[in-house]
Order: sequence, then C-alpha cells, then structure tokens
Amino acid sequence: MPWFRVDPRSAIGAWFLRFCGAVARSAIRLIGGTCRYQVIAGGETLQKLLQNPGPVLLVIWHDRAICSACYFSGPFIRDRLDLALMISQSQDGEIVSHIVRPWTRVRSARGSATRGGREALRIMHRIMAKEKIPGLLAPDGPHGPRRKFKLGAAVLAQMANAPVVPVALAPERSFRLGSWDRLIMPIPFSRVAVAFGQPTPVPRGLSGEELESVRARLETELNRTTSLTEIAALPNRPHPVPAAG
Amino acid sequence: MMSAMDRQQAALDVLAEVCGRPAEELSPDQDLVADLDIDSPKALQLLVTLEEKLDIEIPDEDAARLEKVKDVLEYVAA
Repeated sequence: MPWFRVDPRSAIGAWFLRFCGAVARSAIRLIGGTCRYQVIAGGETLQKLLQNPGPVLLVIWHDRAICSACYFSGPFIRDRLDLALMISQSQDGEIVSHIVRPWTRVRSARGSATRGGREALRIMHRIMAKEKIPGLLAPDGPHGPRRKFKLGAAVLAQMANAPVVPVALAPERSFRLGSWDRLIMPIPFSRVAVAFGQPTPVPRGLSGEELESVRARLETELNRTTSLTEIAALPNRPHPVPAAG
Repeated sequence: MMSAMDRQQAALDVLAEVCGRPAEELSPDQDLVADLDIDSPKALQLLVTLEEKLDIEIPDEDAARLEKVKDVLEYVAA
C-alpha cells in the first residue's frame, strides 16, 4: 500500500500524480546519470539486444525497479533500444506511467481499470510478437510475493516466442524502502553492477507441470543473476548463490 | 476453408487444452473464469492460440465480451 492515496479521476489527484511522476523522473535522471555501470556478466547478450532486439522478455525483480529505470533510461541504452513496459493499474503504476511518458522509445502496456492484468498481458504480447519490441517486466509485481516468479511472465514469453533474459542490478551504495518488495534506492555516484543471465526459451505445447518446471527454472536463474551482481557490488556481505536451474 | 462447425470444434479443443480438461466436460454455459479457472495467463494462451489456429484477429473489445464457453463458440462461428 502506498503511504498516500489520491483519486486519479479528480483534477487535483491527477495533477498530484503527474507531479510525483515528474519529480521521480528527475530523481532517476539525477541518480542514474551519476552512477557508473559495470556489466559483469552477459555483456554479449546486451550487445545482441542492442544490435538486433527482436522479441525477448527482460525480467528484473521488483526491488530493482529504480535501479533498472536509472540504467535503461541512461543515454547508452535509452537512444538505442525500444522497450515495452508492463505497468500496473495501481497508484504506483499511474506514477510510473507519468515517469516514462516523455521517453519516446518506451511503450506502456496498461490494461483498463476493469480488465487490468488480462488486457495488459494482451497489449504486451501484441507489442512483443507483432512489433518485435523487447518487453521488460518484474515477474514478482505488482504486489508480490517478493521474488516469486509468477506464471504470467512465463506464459507471455511462451506466447510471444520470446526467450526470457534475467537482468539484475546491484548498487554499491543504496538503501531500501519499507515497501513489500523492499525497493532499492541507489545513492548518487554509486558503482552499479549489471548482469544479463542466460536467455531461456519457453517452448509451446508444454503441459502444466512442464510449464511450472520452466517457471521455477526462470526464478532460480533470476535469483542467480541477482546474486552475481550483489557479490560484485558488495563483496564483503554473505550472498548465497542459488544453483543454476 | 473451415466450416463454422469445424471452427467451433477447434475452439473447443483449444479451450480444453488451455483449461486442462477433456472437451466432453465443457458445456456452453460454463463461465471461463469461475468454472474453468481461466486466469490472465490462460486467457492470453486461449486468445493467442485461437487467433493462430483459426487465422483470425480478436480485438480487445471482443475479447472482453467472451465470458462463457458459448460466447467463444459463437464468436468463432460468426
């Protein structure tokens, strides 16, 4: 639950959410622009993505949302990659949609208020499968459980014939908010470790059990990729690395 | 060119595959969400597979109106 709630249909509420979006966008520019990013794994995956994007589903854990916004909105990526973002219908999602509005290479997938998730998945699928634009989403969003890779992300990749690429970022200096995901806020001028995991295809025609097995493997791979960045950014803290799936 | 009946049978097969039940267990009045547990990911599977198998495009407004098995069957037959 956000610490405040406004009615987005009221003039004041809509203005306030736009204002929050503008402030957050400026903060992301400021923080993101001063951080130094070091790709520690999967550099070839990033190069391939920039040269020949195609349908691919990039996944991050929700607690890395600000870190990934800082990274993907930086000039190195921003001007070279179109992205489709799945944005929730929540108030937080409303602010996110205001954050990304001026970023012309970002496409938002938001469902209507009544058919939210179902419609957003359809829009995301259409952008990825028909326009061949990479998608980016947090598979444990919008409300958790934290670090639980939900089946919807795996099915989206399957139906769009898009391999799933885990993406992880870990800042050297940061603090966490008290939200359900314990959102990481990077501190300006931090070094940020970035890793891209192994692209994993999700074949069509899987049984329920097989799909669940792929989902579990994707969860493990995203945890493993995240641990790699945490070890690189914070070498003196304990970081158990899950075995590759 | 598939007949309306063939299209309905194909749609029934897709529905059965997506919800993991035999086609014989499906009845026209069953609700896709309440009776067949078709959540958002399964709805995506259903719509995309129907579009691919029947070579049709289902606009979002039409997709939103598909609530029961009979809605799907009538839609693909039309």
